[in-house]
Amino acid sequence: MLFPSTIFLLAFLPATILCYYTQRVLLGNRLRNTLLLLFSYMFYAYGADEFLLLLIASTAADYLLGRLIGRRRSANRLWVALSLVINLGLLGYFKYANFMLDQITPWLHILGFDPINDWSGMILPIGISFFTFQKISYIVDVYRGQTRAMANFVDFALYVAMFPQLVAGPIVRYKDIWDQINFRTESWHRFHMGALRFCWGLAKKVLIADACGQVADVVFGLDAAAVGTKAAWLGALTYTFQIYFDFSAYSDMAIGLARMFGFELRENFNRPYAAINITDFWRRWHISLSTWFRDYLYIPLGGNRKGAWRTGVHLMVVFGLCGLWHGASWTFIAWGFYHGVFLLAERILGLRSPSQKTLAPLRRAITFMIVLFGWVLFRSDTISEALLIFERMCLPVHVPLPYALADVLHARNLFFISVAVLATLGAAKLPTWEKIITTATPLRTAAVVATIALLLPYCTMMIMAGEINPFIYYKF
Amino acid sequence: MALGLFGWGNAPQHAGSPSKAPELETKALLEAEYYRAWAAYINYRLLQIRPLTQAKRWMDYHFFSMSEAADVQVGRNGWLFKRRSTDARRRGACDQTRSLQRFLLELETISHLVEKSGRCFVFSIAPDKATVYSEYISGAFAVEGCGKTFYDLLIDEHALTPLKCFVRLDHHLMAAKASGHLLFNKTEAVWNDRGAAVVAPALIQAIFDNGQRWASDPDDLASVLMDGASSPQARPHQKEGYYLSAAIIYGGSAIHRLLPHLAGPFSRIDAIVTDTIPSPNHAEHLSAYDAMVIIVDESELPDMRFDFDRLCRMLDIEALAEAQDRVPLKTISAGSKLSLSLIDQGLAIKSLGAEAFFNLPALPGSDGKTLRILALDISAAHADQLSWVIAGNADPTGTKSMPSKRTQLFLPLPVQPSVRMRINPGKTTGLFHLNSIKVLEFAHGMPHRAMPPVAQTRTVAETNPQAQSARSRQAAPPKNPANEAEPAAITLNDFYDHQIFQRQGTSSDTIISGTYTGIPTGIEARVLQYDNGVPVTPWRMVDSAPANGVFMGILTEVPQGGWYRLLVRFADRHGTFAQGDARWGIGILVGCIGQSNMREWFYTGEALHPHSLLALHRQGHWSAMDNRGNGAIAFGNRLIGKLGIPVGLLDYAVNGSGLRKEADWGMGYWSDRSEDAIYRQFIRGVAGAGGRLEYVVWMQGEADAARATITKSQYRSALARFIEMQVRAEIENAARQPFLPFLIVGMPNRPVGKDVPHQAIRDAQVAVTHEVPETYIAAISQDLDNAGRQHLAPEAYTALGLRTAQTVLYLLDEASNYRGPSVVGGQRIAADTFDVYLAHRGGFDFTPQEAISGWRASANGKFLPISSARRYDARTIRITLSKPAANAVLLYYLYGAMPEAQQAIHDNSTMELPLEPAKLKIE
Repeated sequence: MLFPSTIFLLAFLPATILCYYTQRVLLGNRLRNTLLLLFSYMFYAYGADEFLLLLIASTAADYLLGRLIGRRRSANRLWVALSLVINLGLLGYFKYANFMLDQITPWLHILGFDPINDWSGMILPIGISFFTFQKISYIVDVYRGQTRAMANFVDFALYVAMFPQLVAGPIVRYKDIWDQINFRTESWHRFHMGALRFCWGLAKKVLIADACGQVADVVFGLDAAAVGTKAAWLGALTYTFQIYFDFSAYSDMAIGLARMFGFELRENFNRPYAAINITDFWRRWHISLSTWFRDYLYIPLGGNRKGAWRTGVHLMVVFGLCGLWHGASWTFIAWGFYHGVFLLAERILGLRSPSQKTLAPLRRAITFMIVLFGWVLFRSDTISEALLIFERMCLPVHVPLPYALADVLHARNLFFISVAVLATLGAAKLPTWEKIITTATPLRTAAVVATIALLLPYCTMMIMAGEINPFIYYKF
Repeated sequence: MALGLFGWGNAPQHAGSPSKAPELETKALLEAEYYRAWAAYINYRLLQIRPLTQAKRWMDYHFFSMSEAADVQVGRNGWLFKRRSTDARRRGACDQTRSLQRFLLELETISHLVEKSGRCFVFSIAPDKATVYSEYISGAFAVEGCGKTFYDLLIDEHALTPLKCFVRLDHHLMAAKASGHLLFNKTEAVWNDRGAAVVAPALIQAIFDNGQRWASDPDDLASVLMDGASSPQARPHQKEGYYLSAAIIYGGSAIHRLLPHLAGPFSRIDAIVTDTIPSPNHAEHLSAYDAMVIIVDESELPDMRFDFDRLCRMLDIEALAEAQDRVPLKTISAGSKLSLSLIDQGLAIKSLGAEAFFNLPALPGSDGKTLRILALDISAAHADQLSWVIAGNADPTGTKSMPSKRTQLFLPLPVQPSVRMRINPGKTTGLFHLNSIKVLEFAHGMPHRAMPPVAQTRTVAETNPQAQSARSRQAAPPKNPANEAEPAAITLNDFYDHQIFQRQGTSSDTIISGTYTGIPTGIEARVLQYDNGVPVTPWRMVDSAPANGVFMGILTEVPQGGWYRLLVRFADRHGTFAQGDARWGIGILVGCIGQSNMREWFYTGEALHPHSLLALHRQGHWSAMDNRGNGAIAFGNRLIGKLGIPVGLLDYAVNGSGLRKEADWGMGYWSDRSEDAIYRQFIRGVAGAGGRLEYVVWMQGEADAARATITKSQYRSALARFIEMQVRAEIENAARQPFLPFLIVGMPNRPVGKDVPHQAIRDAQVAVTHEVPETYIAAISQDLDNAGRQHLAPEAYTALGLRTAQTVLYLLDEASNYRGPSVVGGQRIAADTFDVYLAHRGGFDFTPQEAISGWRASANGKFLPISSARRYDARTIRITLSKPAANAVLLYYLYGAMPEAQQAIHDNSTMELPLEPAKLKIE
């Protein structure tokens, strides 16, 4: 179920809010987690009913293992290992089995074995990458003693499956939210703030991200011969804006929705295109994922405590896996290593401290370009396609813009792409939406109301016209 | 949300939209489909989707100069263009030169023939807005391909070799545009009145200067004065009492605005918007007109086609020909996978299907002095598609549809010295008769276009002495012919697995064919039971004189039943045999057509298991029925259970399809007879299944009712025409009835829409059963659950299948009745109480006893509340109104789009058939 869809906006969300606050009035919040869990499972069933039982079963397994780890210290490593095997096994099977099979088939042929012909491609359960990481963080935190095992299954299941962040994050850490699950308080002010944040995310997604996405989709769908330098840059830039506005819009909506039910999720983005180096970028981009890898992989591997060489290896391993987490494709792995290389270079050259403000605009521009080239790798279907676009971006090739772009380079898309460009150029200076809505000056309140009043009707019309693309991170 | 709530109750009517909320089901909460049903319902019901979409498009157009509408391209300054025409400009059409050559050959031939018949012929193209106002197309983007449209290519060709009949209009438009005239409105696709007025004189001049002399209007005194003569001169087809001539105009939407400007000089002008000339959907005949004018919209030009055979038959071109050369049939030689034998009536062709062909002798082509047309008089036992290949021609291949009867096909011979042609008589195995072949010659000839030269120069006359005689059977087949040295072997052309042949009575003749090596004296065949190999028929000679390595013959009177398999052998060498693998049978074929509720017969419900003798024919292929489709399985199982013979169902229903053109919601409509129409797909399916059916089941009407403007008489006449002029004209009747029975399944309850249009369609269907013989309301469905949407619940399809099967059994004398009780009268008992009398057919009583639903009462145009409707006795229903009614009362049963029928009346027969809809007036 997409957030920007009529069934979500006009049926699911109102029904959830109505039931939630009715039980609050009638039952004093005694069933609020049960209710949210039921609605979350319905939300999941809409998109992937065939995997609902998988979600429930794997949640139950981790709940039981968490309880065991919390009680019996002696065999804890075994239970942690079992949990990791279950979680990573499911993730590997559903997400990477097709990819692995594709890779080994030529080798089977070379070695004289029969290729596996009766394999039918796996379908990826929606959100498996996110809820798997959440469950792993829970098991590890309990094992480390950083938090206690959850006693109530419903509470734990809600932590795993809460619909605002179930399918595309942010990856919520158990220790950050366990107290909210039981002791959160709802208020009109919080609800209002959540609704405003949700609306802002909706507008970002519907107006800006999809405008950029339409252009990027055309460029990355072109034949190689039709891609000239102009088209290549256009595709790279629009995809760079699309992925940020799309994913940050989802995070805005998730944070806003959670807030409407009394939760406070951590921010997932902090104006990443204002970063002055790649290290800074990863502190601002998909924060919940980067901190997850830091806390559950990079530091356990040894982090930077085992010398420069090992640190480099750790970085490359972490970012290789980070790329692989995004999808079973060589382009994602290459994208991960690409970032790993720049991070390593910054570490070696001593350029990683974000506090160094010298030549900040230039460094910001360079960082943006590095990230932009990375997104080309990320978006391309194959490495060779990415290399071709790199070549066209770097070596001028005059090919007239293909006609297919005429359909998407219309005034509306150009207008919203321009908004994206301006917002990115001014990212370091402009106040965040969160700051605007939480600072209740009359001017800002009027600006908020005017913006919402202008944008929402048009967004609604676009949603009703069925012109909305799915979120990019849904497929991860 | 406010916008959504505002839209409640104002949902638009359109086909395919869910109208009722999905029922709340706990177990369905875990199914994504359930939520999608809700999403569809919310999208439809809760929102003002259409006005909001319109509002958004208005904003997109006015604020952003763009549109998401698939068919519209927004240009500069708000100019709108057909996306199709702008796309055509960007893509180019240089890959369509072959189509252009064919088009030009046909066009020039038709021009020649029409003028030969004494009529005037003018062809023109209405230039697209994108051609005249190309400066308003936005964007400097790359043009793919050669950058020339089909129209550009035609103009180039015209510049090289002028088309005599062609009137070029773009010059006139460009000149008028240069003078400051606005010829196209910003937001319209075709020219405006001014544009039409600019081009009309050119067309009229072309018509009147085209070698014809026409009368001036005697009321136009100035014209009479200038002409200096009051009597018309040499006007063709002049009839007494008419001073001006009649013309027919074919073309696209551009002709609408043109008509007022062209109509003046004619006594009668008919216009048909069509892409096929003559129109497959109109009954026009060229003999009624003096002028034939074609004005094609530029963007529609690549899709325009001529029904050349029909045109030639209309013009009776054999009578017009200056000379006719009969091609001796003995000069025709077998090519591959067929055998030829000369018989008294012509040439018998036993063809093994798509790869078979025969060769014609070298024929003279058209040239600058003479137009030559090949006329084939051919008969086929089934509808098929004839195709040909011309050696050395730029457009070497072509196809023609062939009905299941004797017909004449006409083929213009290309401009080349000699034409060598090979012909495949049909895609399916069968027997054809070539009655004659002639070359018709017309003076004045054809211009020579850029055709590849061919070295062959032999003509019919030269070829005859050396021609390979069909009788001699010495034609060289592509594969090795029968040969002494080769070992004897036989190969059977097997049937498709699960193929069912329509029975004729209680048996059917079946065509057996195959290939062989060696020299058999004859080929014998017999039929075995598939499972146990028990013989069904004795050995029978099917081809007593096989030739050319091909055998073919008819195995007569194979008894109905199945599954069978085939066995063939040499008559003189029994050890040389071949056995078929496919299971096949002789049984009943039923064509199932209509829209989505018919299609759902095959897709909704998995509660039943199909009988092993039930088979499905879909998209030209036979297959066993799977577990899906309650309606189809219930229908087939019931027939097989009663008759014990195979039943084949031809599934050719199309979702959202209307009957009339006005009800075309994008999926097509059944009255359309053009080549790509859904009706043609059905006919091709029937042809593939043998060309004969025993019944046709029709469940349709929702799309026409949703249009809400189609009247009862319009639908009635369209359905009657569809049955009589289409279905029965093109499908051979294999039923015992004199006409192919047409079984109508009534429209289901549909909460979408209003009562009046739905009732009009229901009434029209009933009316058709009264005026068209062998047409039946096989089942009504208003009493069945529609599952909250506009399709029925799975159990309802089961009921419909059984009811329809009951009708078939009734027609076969296997059941005594197929209809439920009917209302035969009524009486007022008190001011507020009425008795309605029933007549039973299969049962003798009915249920429910109390709280009967489905009734409505009205007086003076106002509906009156009914307080109770209950059983009074086995033949009487007592209806009590809430208030006394002083005047006459109208009582309706199962009336309108969605009558309340939870407690509808059913009789106590084993079928529990429903009381039929009724309307009666009680004083």
